[in-house]
Amino acid sequence: MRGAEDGGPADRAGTETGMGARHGEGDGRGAGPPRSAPVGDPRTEALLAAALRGERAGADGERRALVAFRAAREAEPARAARTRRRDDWRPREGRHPGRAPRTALSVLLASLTLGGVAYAAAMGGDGSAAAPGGPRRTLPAAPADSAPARPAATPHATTPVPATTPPGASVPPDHPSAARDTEARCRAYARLEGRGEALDAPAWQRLVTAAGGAEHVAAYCAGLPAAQPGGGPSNADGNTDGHTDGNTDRNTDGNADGENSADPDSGNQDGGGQENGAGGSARGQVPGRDR
Amino acid sequence: MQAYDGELGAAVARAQDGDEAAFAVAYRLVQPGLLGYVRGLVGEDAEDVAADAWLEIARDLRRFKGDGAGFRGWTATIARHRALDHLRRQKVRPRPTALDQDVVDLPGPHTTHDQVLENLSTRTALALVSALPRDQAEAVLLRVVVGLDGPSAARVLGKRPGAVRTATYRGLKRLARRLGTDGVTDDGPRTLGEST
Repeated sequence: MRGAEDGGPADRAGTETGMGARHGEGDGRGAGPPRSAPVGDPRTEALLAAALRGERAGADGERRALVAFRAAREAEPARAARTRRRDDWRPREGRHPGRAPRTALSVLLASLTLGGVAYAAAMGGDGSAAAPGGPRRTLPAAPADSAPARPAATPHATTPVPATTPPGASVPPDHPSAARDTEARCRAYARLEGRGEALDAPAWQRLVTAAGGAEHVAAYCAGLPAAQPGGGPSNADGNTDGHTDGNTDRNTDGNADGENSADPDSGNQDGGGQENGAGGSARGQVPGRDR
Repeated sequence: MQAYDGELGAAVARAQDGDEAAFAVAYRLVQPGLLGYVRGLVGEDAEDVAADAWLEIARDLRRFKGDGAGFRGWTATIARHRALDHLRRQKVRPRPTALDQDVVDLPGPHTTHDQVLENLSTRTALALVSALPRDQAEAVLLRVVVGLDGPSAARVLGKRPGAVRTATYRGLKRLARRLGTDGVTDDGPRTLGEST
């Protein structure tokens, strides 16, 4: 565009400033031209503004905009006019810092994880099969808040049914399910280490109580027998253990989550169909046998 | 244009409450700059693209949060997206108008600044801005025509403020040279016609 003969002293000065600015950009410090740099003559801007802003649009454009405005106003009650990030042009101090959504997200993830742990623990205690791979598979399960499932759970969980122990169960029958809960929590603890928000959760509180203090948790978890990689073998003790300690509330969680699993959406991925079938049959047998 | 920001902010707030007359006020305050910016992006089709942008502005008005200056930035962002959509659809080059010879009816080297002010046509100004590299052209338009400050322009463009500031500076510098408004008069003619 510009011929070489165009470069007078002023031009060269401008180029050098530009180069300096480019270097400044590189380190992100914005060492470019000063904000108030006199750029040529203010008339340049005035000139361009006058020429380009120019004419106002015809009345047609305004009329169409107003029609759209009225339409939006009519439709508004039905619409959720949520302010997205790109709609927030308030001065910076008025805006929420970007940290808030991320914090909320990690809290949500942590609660989902621990909810899944509680679910897995309760499912184990319930006699149903936990999914292979342990609590990880149960991540989608939300913490339960519905109690109606409790009656179904309580008689079952308190009934010793050694007969339904699946073949191949290798865990000693006296291994209490509370300990397995603890294992699950220890695994969750290991996963969540360093992200403190999750540690307020009730599951964490139980772990702390079991360990005898927050500072003992790591040692306590390390002292536990190594967790079985597949959840399968430990299913046995859910059926065999008859203790009621702490099972009631956990079973509430577990069953409510079980309801969720029956939902076609969250579906049967949580446990293989076979395993669910086994759990179902156990559930059917137990009360009959009990009474 | 910044002088109207208080009035604009108030109008926007009333419009968000459903005041149609206030929306019209906001439209009249914003549209000239918005249209100038869109014209710099898409050329001839600017009015249609701006109209599309206003449909979206009206639809999402209640989502917006901010003052008058913020409203200009928000609307410019919407208009820019519509303009880029338009360019994608049209598969035309982003440059709105080729720098035709007949467009360049720049004043001769001896005209005074006042004469320049009188004579610079929209078409010529557009051709000059369009001749700039794309980033410089957009940065200049956002500052000069829409009236955004550096950080707002950077947000509209999705770039770092330092980069936008540099682009604005260079673009304006080059335009000043073309227009002979850079205050250096003893260095020979600097009009486009002579230098190319």
